[in-house]
Amino acid sequence: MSLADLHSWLLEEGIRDDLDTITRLTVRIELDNLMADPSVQSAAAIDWPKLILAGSILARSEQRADQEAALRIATAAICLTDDQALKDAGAVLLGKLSNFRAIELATDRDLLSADLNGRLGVALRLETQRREMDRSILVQSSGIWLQVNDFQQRFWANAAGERWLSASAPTASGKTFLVLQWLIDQVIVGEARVAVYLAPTRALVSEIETNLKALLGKPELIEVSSLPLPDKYKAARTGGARVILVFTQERLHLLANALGDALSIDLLIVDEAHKIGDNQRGVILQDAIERTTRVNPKLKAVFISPATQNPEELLTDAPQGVQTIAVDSDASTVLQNLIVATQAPRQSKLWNLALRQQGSTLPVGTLQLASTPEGLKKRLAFIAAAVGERGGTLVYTNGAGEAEEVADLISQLLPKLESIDSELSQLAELARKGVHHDFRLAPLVERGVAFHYGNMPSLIRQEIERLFRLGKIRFLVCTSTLIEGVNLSCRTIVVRGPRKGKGHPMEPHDFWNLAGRAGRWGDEFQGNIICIDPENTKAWPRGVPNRARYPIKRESDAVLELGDGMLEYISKRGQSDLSSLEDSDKFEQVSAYLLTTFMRLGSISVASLAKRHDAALITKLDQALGVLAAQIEIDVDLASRHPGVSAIGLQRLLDAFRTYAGDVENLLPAEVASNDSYDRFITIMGRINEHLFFAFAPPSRIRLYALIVYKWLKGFSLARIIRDSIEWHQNAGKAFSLPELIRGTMELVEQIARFKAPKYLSAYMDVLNLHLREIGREDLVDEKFDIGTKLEFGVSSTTLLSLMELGLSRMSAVALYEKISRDDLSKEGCVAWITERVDQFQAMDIPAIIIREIRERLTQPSNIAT
Amino acid sequence: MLLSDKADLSNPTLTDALKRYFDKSSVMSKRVQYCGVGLVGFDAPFYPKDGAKAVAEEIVKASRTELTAWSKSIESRLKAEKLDQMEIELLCIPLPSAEGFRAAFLKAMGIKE
Repeated sequence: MSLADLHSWLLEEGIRDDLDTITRLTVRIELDNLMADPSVQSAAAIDWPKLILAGSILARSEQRADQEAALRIATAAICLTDDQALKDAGAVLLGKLSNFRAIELATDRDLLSADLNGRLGVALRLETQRREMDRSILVQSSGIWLQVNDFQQRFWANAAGERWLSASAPTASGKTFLVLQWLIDQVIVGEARVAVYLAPTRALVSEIETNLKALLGKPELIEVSSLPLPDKYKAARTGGARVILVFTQERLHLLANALGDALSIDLLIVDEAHKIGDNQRGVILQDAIERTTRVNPKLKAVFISPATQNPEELLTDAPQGVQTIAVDSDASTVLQNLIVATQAPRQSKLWNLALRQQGSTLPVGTLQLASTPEGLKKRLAFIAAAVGERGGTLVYTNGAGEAEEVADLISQLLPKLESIDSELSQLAELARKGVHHDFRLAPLVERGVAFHYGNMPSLIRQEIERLFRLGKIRFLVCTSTLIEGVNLSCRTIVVRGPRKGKGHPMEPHDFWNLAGRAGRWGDEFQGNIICIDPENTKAWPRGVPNRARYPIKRESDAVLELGDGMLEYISKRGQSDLSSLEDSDKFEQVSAYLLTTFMRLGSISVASLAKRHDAALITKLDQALGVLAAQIEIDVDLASRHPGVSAIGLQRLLDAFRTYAGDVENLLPAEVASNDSYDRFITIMGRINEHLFFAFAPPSRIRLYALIVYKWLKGFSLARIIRDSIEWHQNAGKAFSLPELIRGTMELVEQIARFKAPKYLSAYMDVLNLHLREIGREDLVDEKFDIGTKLEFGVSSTTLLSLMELGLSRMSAVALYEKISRDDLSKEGCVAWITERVDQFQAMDIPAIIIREIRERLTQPSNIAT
Repeated sequence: MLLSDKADLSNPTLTDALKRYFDKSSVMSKRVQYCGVGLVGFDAPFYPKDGAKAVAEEIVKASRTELTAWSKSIESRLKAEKLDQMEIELLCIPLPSAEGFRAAFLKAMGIKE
């Protein structure tokens, strides 16, 4: 019998019964409000020595199921038995799995007495020490040896040298921590002067920035920044402090534009790299990678993705001659229990829970609800409140409105706390002052419940995430924002019929990207995924998905595979009526990318993507692109500055400027301080819709969009924008629902002011400046502060920008700016202003969390030094 | 109850035996024989003092004689510990100083200074 045969025989027959028993027992200790069940066998009946021996044999396997069984046995020996020798054996087994963090956790929880090594015999002790040495890596910059798991070790070993690397591992593998350590090592000890860390969302950008600063400790050695401003980059390039820039793909383009494309990066890290397949923003990411590689072909790139099928796919675009390597891991570090919940027949308050395993289902017990769950929202809320009572519970909903309602329902089932934790009340204060006095989040937070969605101001969202990690927020109701790039794990996830975006059932890999967040390595031994109504085909059209890994596919490749659709879109893109273009959501970004590539290379057949597609299709696309390119005068450099914006659109806009009969000054946006600024935005958005791209739809809402952009640029706080809107509705005698109005306003700010407007308005300005130069009106060109950057941050005054350069969130910066009278303060001026008044902030009615952020940012040595 | 990291599981005889052990339906699963290996070091007077020379043949001969005497004391000790029914491989090594070896070994292991 081969070892592999022995492994599978052990799982299927040898220890099956005992394994089922300990599985049921370990899962039961994770779940709250289970009814007593006399049929469950006790742990005393288990032949532990035999089971642990089996565990140590299974630990030799590379197969996920075997590793999981070994982990289950180790966990059970530690959690279920009282015998020190068995617990110690469980801990050694964890060591064999290189799961040192779980041993630490067991010691912290007093499940394992300290000084395990002292109790081991000579042989085991030798083995343990050897394993600990084998599984250590040296962080050169600090001289510290880190104990790591198999994935981390392989990453570290393979990341050396100049080759491109793509690493993939499940969520709780200690990826981010290790990559940040490695990045710091490269910048301190290695050759990298300028490193860029790309993350797909602003939320993740600020999280990474904060983590990096915390890990660095000595900020004078290395600058860390998330602002696309040239000074720190230039300093690093000319021998000053080295710099790590943490950006979204859009911000990378902004900085490259500001530097006139001379952005030379030594080391590029792309986090959540599977997002290269995202609709509309995937191609912007691809473009960012290609753009930086063009400037510095010697650039080293590292891609990181969670549990993907084909991490090597990202390496196919490495420049010729550059070696590549993929590091892939599917090993689990925490047990993940996939549990289905079905209503007991004729008993609406009783729910049967069963564990799904490969090919089998294991009954776990019966959950008792406090109240009858009528309707689907109550079902989700009540089950979550019961099963995850002890906290760390995440509830997935299919939209922001639903998230608010479910959170409200959960909060009603919880006892009112006698005293409210001070951090929770500070968050409630921030929600009331920063958004609206009646924002629903505030009273919920006071009960330890919160909701979380993408368009929320980042300061509030980050504080929610922080308090959830700390356990002060026990229930967090979230939306698909969570799978769009927020690093948040939990103990238990509760979900019913998850959708991605608007109405599409989740693909298995999306579902597992969500479910993979159950289980915090080093904080818990297990994570639980509770799926409600597994048999219901409306909730789960394809059933509860089996474990699946994410397939990486570039957005550009996915769209090109649609073949004729893309061809037809390109051939119609030159027509005059942009509002009638069909499927522009799907095709516009990629067709813009193809057109720019064609303009640069003369044919897309020589581009890297050609090797992945049918040659006949590439030829046809080349023809269609050639027809468009023949009509374009603007140069490829200008087009490259605006990824996702079509060069033919830019040309049409230029044509429109040339034929404009009025005073050319009327084409310019007006200073936001002036009276006609708002009206100018309306006409500019109309012009963009007509010539460049139909971005601001429907046209009937352009006035509203312009108003939001105007207020955002003016540096208004979100609270003020919401207040104004309420006032407008009241004056106009229009009915409105407050929660909807609040959500709607946040959405407008994020989607229009911070996403579409910067993209298209900065393209508009670039083309207009070109036109102004052509007609000899350079005097009207104002380049000192680009409108894209202004909109990205929602600032138009020097003072506001300085505040944000100090590292403040916009919410904090705006709160301060409301109190600062001068609009031209430099960073130093702002620091002086703050230092003088910081003790009076509370009296000025500034929320405590904002004061805390200001204090934290200002105590950073780099800021004090200035 | 744990498998050593050094155990070679590529040997089918071993994996087959392990299977029989875990197979509850097999009568063999109850017929487990416990075996052991032990290192016995004993003080031997026949080693030359530091710096002095001796003939290897004579040392071997002397150690054989000593071993006969030692096997008797090992036997009585095993009986006293009720281990005489178990299969144990004993490696008996004559040492200039058993106590000195123990101290050096424990120090090398980091168990005792």
